[in-house]
Amino acid sequence: MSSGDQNRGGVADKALQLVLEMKRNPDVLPPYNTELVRQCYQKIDELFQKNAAVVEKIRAGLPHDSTLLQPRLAAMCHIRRCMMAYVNERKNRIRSFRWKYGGALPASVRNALCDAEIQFFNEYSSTLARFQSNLGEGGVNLLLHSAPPKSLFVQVRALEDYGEFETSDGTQVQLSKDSLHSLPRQDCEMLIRQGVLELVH
Amino acid sequence: MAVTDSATTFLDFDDDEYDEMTTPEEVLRKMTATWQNELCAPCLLPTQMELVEILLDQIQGMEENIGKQTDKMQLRISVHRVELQRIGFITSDYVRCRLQKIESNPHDAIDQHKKRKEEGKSDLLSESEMKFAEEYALAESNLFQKTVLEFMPAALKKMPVPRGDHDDVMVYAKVTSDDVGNVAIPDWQDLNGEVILEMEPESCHLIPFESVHQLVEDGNIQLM
Amino acid sequence: MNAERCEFIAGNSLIEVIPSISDDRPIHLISGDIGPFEAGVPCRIPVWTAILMKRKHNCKVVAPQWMDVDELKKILTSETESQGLAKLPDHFFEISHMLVRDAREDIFEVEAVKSLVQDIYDRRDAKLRSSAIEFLRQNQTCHAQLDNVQLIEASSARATLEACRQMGAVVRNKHESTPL
Repeated sequence: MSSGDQNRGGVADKALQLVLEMKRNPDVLPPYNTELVRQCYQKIDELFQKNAAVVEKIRAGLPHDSTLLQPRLAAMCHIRRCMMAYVNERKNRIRSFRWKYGGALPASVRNALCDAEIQFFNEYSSTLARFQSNLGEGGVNLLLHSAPPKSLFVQVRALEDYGEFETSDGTQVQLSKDSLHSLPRQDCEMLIRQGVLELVH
Repeated sequence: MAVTDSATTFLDFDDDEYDEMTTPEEVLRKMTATWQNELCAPCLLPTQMELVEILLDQIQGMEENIGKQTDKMQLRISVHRVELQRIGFITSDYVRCRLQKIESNPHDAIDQHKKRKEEGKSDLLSESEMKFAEEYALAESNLFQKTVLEFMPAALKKMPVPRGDHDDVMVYAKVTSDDVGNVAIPDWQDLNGEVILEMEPESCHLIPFESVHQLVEDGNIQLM
Repeated sequence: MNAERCEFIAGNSLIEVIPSISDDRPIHLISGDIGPFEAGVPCRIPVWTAILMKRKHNCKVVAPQWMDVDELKKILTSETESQGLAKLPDHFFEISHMLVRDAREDIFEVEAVKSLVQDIYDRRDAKLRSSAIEFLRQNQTCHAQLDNVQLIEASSARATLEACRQMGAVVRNKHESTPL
């Protein structure tokens, strides 16, 4: 779809822009476009009002032109579909953040979400947490074991001054910036995910 | 201190499905086959969360045992640890796969679960999966309500629940039983007709999932 | 299901090793007992355990009977001569991959073995590819029988199948929404 398609003077132009915004940003979540969303539902309202006016005339037995009733309804549905697709795509990415960052979103991501999305993230997060805690005796962290185990130990480099870290076999390790370590893979998974450690090959 | 002989721990169940004594080894084998099917199936298969619970219990027991080990035979500890990671992986992966499927269409999961209950079939969802589905469905519905649907005119405030549409998904299926018999697939040359296929043991087929859905549930077919 | 998971499953297969250590107590794993070990005496253990022991220099791996240059040449010949897929041992590709990677010195003529396994893979891949194209371009039947397909081969084909299905949906959508 070329950018020339965006402004054809069609009723669904803004709706299309919403969808394209997500398509053009596959890697970064753009800030919630409140303004564009508002323009979309205003357009729906505009179309609805026009239809309502025609229906009024029909009821009052006045001359009317009903040819645009159906197309306007189709346009409203189409704009709504684009809005839903926009929210849905963002929702899918927000879900993946929970699996990437755990329950706490980095500020840069939080700022891109609208209030309803933040609420969704929080509700999703706690639903998942409740489910996880019901697994087994003491709960299971489903963020761990994300891939088949390759080795017991992994080589990692600390990306920041994290400080003291105790491994599952009781060893104390000092994680200072750029230090290299061989650590039990299970202990590192969360820290790697959070960007404190990186794998060294 | 010797490690408890957990390999010969026998577990018996009141549950209908487990008529005989089942060893942890068999539970793990069943979990592996179940996990493989769940990964390859386009829709949720009947829940086998009981297997997950048994294995999580085994993992915990073994972790306690390893913790108590005073003899420093490093190889033994390593072998135990790797096994626990393997079992941890397969159980977590199975659970994650199912959660993902529930999230992709929570209302459909709930509806299918209820339908199966009415038909007297095995549970699609475990109790906690059902709770998850309901809570997730609500969170998702709140999101759409607050961002889009609230601003719609009355006629457009409701969105239909998407159907689970798996009619045209193809799968690779291996026949693992001796007496599967015949399977019906849609006849592309006669839209009202069916083609009957013979499913020989060990044969592999690229076939519409729906045609083998029940056989997968019955354990006669392994998806690849 | 992907290559990583296929390798994981393959790790459960049994393989013969010759331990270099002795331990008269078996290891009681959740998945069964392993050992006891007597140095120099062959025993069968899961591939994942064998690799772990190998990394710790606690054993020598005995390559499976099929992982031998002459046997592999026979397999390659039968693969070339038949139209269908030859029957291979379960997890043939994953096991050879793991052993070549982690137990090189225990494989006789390892480079030749590696090369033959690759040839067998390529030969089968070519057959699967051309029959997939034939299958996808026809509309007579929604079924194909491919006995002896390996798990890893099915996994890598799945992405293509899913892409085709989605393309079908896009084309149908277009037909349904294009004005007459």
